[in-house]
Amino acid sequence: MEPDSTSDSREPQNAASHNSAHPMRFEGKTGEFFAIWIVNVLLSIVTVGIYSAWAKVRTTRYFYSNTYLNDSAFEYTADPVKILKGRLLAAGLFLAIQLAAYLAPVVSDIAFLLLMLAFPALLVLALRFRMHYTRWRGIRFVFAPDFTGAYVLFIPLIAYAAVVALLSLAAPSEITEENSGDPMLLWIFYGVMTAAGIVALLFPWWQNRYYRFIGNRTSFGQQSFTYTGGCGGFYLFYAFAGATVVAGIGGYAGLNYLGSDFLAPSVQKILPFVLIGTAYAAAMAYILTARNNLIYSRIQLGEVSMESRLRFPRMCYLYLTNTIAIVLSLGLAIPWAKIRMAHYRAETFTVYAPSFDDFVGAAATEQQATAEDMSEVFAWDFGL
Amino acid sequence: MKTRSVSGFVFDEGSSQRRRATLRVDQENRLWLEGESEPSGLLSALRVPARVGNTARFFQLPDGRGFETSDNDGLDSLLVAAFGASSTIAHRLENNLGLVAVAGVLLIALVLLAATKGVPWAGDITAKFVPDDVRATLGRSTLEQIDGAWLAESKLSSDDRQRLRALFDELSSQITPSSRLLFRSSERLGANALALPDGTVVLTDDLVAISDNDDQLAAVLLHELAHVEFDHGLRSVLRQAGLSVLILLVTGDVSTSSTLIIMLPTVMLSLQYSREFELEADRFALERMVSTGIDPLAFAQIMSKLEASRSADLETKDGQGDETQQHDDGVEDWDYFSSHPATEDRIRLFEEAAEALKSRSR
Repeated sequence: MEPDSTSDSREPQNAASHNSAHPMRFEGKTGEFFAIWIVNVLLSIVTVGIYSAWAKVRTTRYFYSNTYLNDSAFEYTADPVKILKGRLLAAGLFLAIQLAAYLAPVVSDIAFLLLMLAFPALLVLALRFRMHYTRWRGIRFVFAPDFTGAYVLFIPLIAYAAVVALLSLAAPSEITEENSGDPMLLWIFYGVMTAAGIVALLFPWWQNRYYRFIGNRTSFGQQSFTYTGGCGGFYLFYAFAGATVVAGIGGYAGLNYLGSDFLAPSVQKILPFVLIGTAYAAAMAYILTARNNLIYSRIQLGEVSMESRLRFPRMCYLYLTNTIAIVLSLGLAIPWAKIRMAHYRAETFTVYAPSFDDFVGAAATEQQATAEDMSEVFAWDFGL
Repeated sequence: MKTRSVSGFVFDEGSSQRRRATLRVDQENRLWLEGESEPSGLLSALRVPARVGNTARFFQLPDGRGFETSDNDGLDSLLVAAFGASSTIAHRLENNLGLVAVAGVLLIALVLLAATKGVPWAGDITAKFVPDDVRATLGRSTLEQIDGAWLAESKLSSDDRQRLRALFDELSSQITPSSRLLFRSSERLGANALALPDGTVVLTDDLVAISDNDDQLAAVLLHELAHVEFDHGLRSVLRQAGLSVLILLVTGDVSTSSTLIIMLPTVMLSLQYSREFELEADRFALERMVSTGIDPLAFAQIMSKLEASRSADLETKDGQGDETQQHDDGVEDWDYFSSHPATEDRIRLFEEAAEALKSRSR
């Protein structure tokens, strides 16, 4: 199922012979994290969400500080009070918009538009925050804020949103018997479909640019990361994922056509969910696995290179068993699932470096926590 | 005996190069790195992050160098000397096994309680505050949607319509006078009746056709009017919304492949909600039938007829492998399958009531 280019055990590209392999190590324990997690949940409920900022910091710290590279752990040093302020601001804005929208519905449209326009800036702020509070051996990661670059990066998506918005303005608000034959309606439909098709075709190319944007603006102390590579690899795994979904739909159509005579009605009812749902889940797992491996193979930190060897069958198995366990345990298995996943990710991660002694820290600055948590309230996940 | 030193690694300011080192505290609470001739500062100047599990901690020494140690107990007992408390409340809670166990049980109870009681309660409370124009909009848009997809013009004679409308007005005048009755025909829905959130009741031609008499139709209409009276339409919309929020809260940490498995508890819970509403509507209909002198057996009869017509329907439709039907009706047919034994219970409720009435009048 997997194309080799995304999962092979690649030799580090410019690894001089003096580079040695340093496996990542994760030492988190289910029992220990379960205690932290359950106290987090309970205190968050009891304090009506106030504690969630501390909960987030403690959880992140637990995972960072149990991840070891060359016998030194990573650190997450964000201040919960800052995160809390960010969350309160976001929650306040959200409430204000909801209330205003109740009086004048157009407010929610405007707010949504403004949020779309602010998104590239919020992304930059969130990355800056997260990198700044991540340390290893006392040296911070740095994300150089490049707002212009972020807006240039998002031009294709903003253009797409603008096209759809303009077309929907041109469309009648209701489709009735009278106007359903209007050729204009058909053209609008074609327009939206074409724009969506173009965006879908360009997405792998765009995503490569997105990771290049992040990679090339991130440094560890004073040493910059570099991201190299074209969009071919992205097209390859998205094509595979797309083919999986098409196969699922085809399988359903075929079985439905052939099997209507001998399959029980109840089986036929759940068939589309099982086949297409499974294909969709497999495609998602495949994208996450292949993309993760590809991105890390392209990141370089001076002479240091890295390699992630996640395997698709294993990831499917982990996702599936984690989900079953979480649902059956009414959520209590969440800590176990997270620890398992972290173990597997660390186990399959290797850093190739001649030495870890020569990194130099950059001068530190304080910054607002608002960005990352604005995005949390509005459910946009930023993942590197 | 208290530990007065911890071993770990020391880092020069802004450098990733590390050296093994031992940090010692003397009688005057000054910090010394072993082997050095100058103290690096006072213990009270240390800012050490709170302990999380047994993870290594990194902190700045007063002279600017970094120090990393995994000896958490050692570090905590050093800090006791300077600050009193050795660890945060959170860490102490996390290390209290009894509390963790109690918290686990509490959390399960909380999730179950929220799913079975909390979500319905919150939805029902919210429904009380929803203004009527929301119900009107909801009813109108629902009708528009199903009118386009499932329903067609009724072919009932105007005599039938007049008679049924009079029956409906008589029944609704004592319950929800603003309700209106619509006649539609529908191949997809077959014999059926629907109540919309704004009080509109839709009756299909097939249902009129399979009924033997107007008492049976009155039974169905009373059941639908109960849905209107108890605001079941809006309440189930709100309960569904609450349920999806709860599911999101419980499984928020799962990234993919969750949809399939999460569907099961979601469907089961929403079935439980809808069964609760059906039962409430049945009881109300029964009460009204008794008080207005309609034989409760009429409800049992029409239910058995509906049941028979639906299973006949389903067989023919499934035999043809009707693709669209399977897709769109997914959830409703789940409902149908799982309410199968429940239908018998519902019929029995009315049969028993009819028996009881008869024996009383005897």
